[in-house]
Amino acid sequence: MIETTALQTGVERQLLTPEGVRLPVRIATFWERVAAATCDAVVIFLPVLFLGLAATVIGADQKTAAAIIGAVAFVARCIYFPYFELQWDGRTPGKKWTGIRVVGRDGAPLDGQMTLARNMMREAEMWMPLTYVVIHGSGDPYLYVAGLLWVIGFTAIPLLNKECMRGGDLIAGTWVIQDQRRELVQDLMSDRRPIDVAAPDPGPMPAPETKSTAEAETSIEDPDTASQSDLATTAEAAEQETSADQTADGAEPEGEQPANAPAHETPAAEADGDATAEIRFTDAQLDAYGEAELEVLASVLRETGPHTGQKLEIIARTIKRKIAFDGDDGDREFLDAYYRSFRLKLERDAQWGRRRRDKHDR
Amino acid sequence: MSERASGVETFRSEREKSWRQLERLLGRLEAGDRPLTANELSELPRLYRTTLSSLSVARAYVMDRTLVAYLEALSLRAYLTIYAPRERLSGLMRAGALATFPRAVRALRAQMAAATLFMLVGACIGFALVRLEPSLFSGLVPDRLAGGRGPGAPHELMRNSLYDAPSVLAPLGTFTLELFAHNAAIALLAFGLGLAFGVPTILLLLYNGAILGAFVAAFHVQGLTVEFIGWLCVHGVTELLAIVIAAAGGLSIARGVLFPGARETRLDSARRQGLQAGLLAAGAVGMLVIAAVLEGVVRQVVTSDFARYCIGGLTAAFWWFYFAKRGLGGKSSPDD
Repeated sequence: MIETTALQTGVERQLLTPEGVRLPVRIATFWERVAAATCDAVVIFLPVLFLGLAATVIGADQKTAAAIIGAVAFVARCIYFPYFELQWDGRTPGKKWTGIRVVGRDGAPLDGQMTLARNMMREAEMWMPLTYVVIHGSGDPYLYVAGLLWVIGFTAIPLLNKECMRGGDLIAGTWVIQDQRRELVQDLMSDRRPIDVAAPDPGPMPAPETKSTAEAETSIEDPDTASQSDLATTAEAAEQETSADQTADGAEPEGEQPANAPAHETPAAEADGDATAEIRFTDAQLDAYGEAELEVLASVLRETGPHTGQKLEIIARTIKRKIAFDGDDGDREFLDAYYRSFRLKLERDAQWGRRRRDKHDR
Repeated sequence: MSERASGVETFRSEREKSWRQLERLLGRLEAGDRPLTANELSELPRLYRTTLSSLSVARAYVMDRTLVAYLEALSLRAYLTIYAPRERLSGLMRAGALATFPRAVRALRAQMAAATLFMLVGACIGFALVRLEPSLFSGLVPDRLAGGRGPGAPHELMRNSLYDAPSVLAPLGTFTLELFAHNAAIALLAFGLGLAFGVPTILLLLYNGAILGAFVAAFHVQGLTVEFIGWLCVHGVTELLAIVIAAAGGLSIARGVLFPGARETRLDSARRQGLQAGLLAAGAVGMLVIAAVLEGVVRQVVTSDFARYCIGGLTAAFWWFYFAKRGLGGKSSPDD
């Protein structure tokens, strides 16, 4: 019943903007919401508690102080939630700290009526059973069990739907989503990209430099450097083989036969005097994979971890086998060239309306 | 390198500047440290639409998942800012008091009638039970509420309870606040538990009606019916009406969840009923503020029966006019 993915990472849903574009949103997990609610509770109750203490200091008896605390806390939370959700575009302080926010379901803009409905519900759903169990429950065991059942019943609602909606979200038509930020990363097609040319060992990245013709040619024509670095890291590679294999699997499951591509034709780089010494691939070689594999390749090319070298090597080996490529270029140069040519082809196909999701998609 | 498909090559370099600018403006808006100029504010929707169209193009033609993901996140951020709630709580309260709340109450007349009926049935049961068997009073009414009152209590105590300020809670302000919190909790409970298919809401109405009936019976036994009704109607008109309104909201949620009808899903129906019911609940809380002032202050000050009946009558007339006439002519709901 309860989706574990919903609890850990949050389910993805789509939100339709009034402009008709679908945007993916990630639903906040149950625990993120519990954390946010706890933060908000602390923010509300701490000052109220101090107020109660102050009242006792002034000389109010305990019963009056308790009455004041209860009533002021009630008024405070009645105002706090709708106020902040309207003022801060669907965020309360607790939600802001946890990185979540309220939005209208399916992309309906959040409005005052929604915040009212979802927060009026909060009282019956959250505060009352909680205070009940904490304060009044201790006396009568039957009442205590009843209060506990009440808490469990309402807590079960967000756990039983994938969008993690509590009762208030159900009736207000809202979702609580994660606030996502993403950086714009360098395009792998861009020539300004820092290229790790024939790094001898997986150390710190060399300073960004332009891929000059001379360098590219030496690294391709000088297989010794590449094989040396391979040798140097063989031991480590073997150790990492298992973990890196998973990445390679994304591109190549076991037991697949190499594509029936014609044998690799002579690298045309020197032949037609191309200034950038590009490795050339045939159409059949570029046809071996689809968009999913392109993304796996891109993510590894972007990596700068200590084991990137081994991963690159394994992926390069897998791809070379599959497309029957017999050049002896360095792994990064080969993968880089393959990525560029492959992406170019996919993008050109896309302009003709041909998309290929992955290698199984024909 | 062989040339890229037309347009794709320059796609990112041509648009990146406006994405970055949008990012900057959003960052400043969210941080709230430096207000945007009028120029920048008018730029915002344009940049948002540019980014959305970039996203559509990127999804179709650019084979770079990181770029698409970046544009998706940026578009979402901008969307949530541009379509952010325009209302503020104060404005919402004003609009609610002036139009939307009475309109929502009118739209839910059937639920109001049902809630009133349940409360009346409860009151009749409570009254009959205590009249037939006075010892049942202590079973029906919790000690905290009874405060020593009951059919068997001394006549003097019963009479004094109608005219003396409660001595336990000396400051009237505290008393008012506590009354409000207690009543509002009951109202919000009656509203919220509508989600449990309305069963607890109905039970709550019956039970609160029964308590009311039991009190009437207890004072009736002592021959203080007229005095008690006068004591009650100062705040009771407003308070009971507020509870009935909140419960009507709960019943409408229950209706939305249980009987969505053929034309919409259960979820949509719960939302449609729930949004309206939320207004009812919030309005009921507002009414209870007034009721608490009437009960905590006015009733303690005004001790003449005639004046109490007058106040009760005036509040009844006020609410009747308010719910019947307020907010007419605006956007009306289909049931109106």
